[in-house]
Amino acid sequence: MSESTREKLRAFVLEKTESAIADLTDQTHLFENGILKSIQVMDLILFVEEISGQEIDVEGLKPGAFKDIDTIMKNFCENRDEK
Amino acid sequence: MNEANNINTEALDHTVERLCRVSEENYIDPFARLDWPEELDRDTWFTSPELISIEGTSLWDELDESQRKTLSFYEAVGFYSINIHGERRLIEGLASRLYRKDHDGVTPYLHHFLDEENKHMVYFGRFCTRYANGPYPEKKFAFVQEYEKGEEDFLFFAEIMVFEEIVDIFNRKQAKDDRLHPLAKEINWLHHFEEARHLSFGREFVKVLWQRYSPNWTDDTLKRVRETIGSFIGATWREYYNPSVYKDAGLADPFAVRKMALAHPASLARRTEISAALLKFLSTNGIVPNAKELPL
Ligand SMILES: [Fe+2]
Ligand SMILES: [Fe+2]
Repeated sequence: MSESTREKLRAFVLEKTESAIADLTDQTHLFENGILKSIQVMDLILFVEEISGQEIDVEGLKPGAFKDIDTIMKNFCENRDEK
Repeated sequence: MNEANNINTEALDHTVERLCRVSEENYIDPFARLDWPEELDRDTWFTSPELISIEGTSLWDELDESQRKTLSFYEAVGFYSINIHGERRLIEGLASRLYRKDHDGVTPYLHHFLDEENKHMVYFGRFCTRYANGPYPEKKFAFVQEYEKGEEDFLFFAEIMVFEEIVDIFNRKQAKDDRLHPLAKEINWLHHFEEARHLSFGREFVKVLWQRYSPNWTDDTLKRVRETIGSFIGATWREYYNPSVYKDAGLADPFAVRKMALAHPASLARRTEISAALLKFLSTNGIVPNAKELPL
């Protein structure tokens, strides 16, 4: 695979953020640190659905489900292509 | 009202009085009002073709009439779902503001507002449940954050206004469209009939809240409020491009369709036209001075 799910996710965050990030890691808190705004959750959910090929059950979502890239990978993209 | 901080609420007071009277005189029973056939004749339009999110793109050109009508049905379900979720949030917010001292003057109207939105959800919800697999889930979220005085209230009513102003253009156009299935046409008519009042209230109340609170906000808060409204308008529009709608309508690669449609000049032109009055209101009243430059 040319680009892993994780790489696509990183690229998405870098594309959507309006804050200047010096070092985005997979443990950077995306919303707490203002990398993404809460209004962008919708775009993030749709993007994760697209790359994971699975619809996310939004009613069962916990607030921390999109905490950082590691958490998103674990919650929604596991058993797909890793790393 | 509010002489203490020198805000002229005369226009709002009149509006509240008039709207309460009109709401009482035009009380609508959504249960009696609409006919709900056991099954829908699907060989017709449920959304005006010109309002369908991919209209004007080459993908639209490739679809035959029956595929377009199928898409028009799921776009209607998508549109009604957007209404349901907007109204759900609205009802929550209105309920918590009833009889709050700073909303004393508008509370009589908030009762009607609340009541009418619940009735709207009844018919939007019934359509989605009876003829499709229920409303599409909402994917828009807002986290709890800290606000300056008046900011949360202002944003609540300003976002409602954004949501209702956009919806109403769709309703107004479709309420007159004889190509639509009679039930879809009637739902749009009914909704517009009551929303017209919500819009007058929304505009007056947003103006008063802006005058009441914004002079005391810091530059940072002003900037944040303006950005929030701008991104809310963008997110509101992006909800109209729903991959689940495209998937149910049988279109291949629904996520790519969404991206294509959002980026297409024809759909940007539609968003620009539909948002024009709203953006003008925001800039004329100094709320978002450069509203016309907001990315849609
Ligand atoms: Fe409504
Ligand atoms: Fe309304």
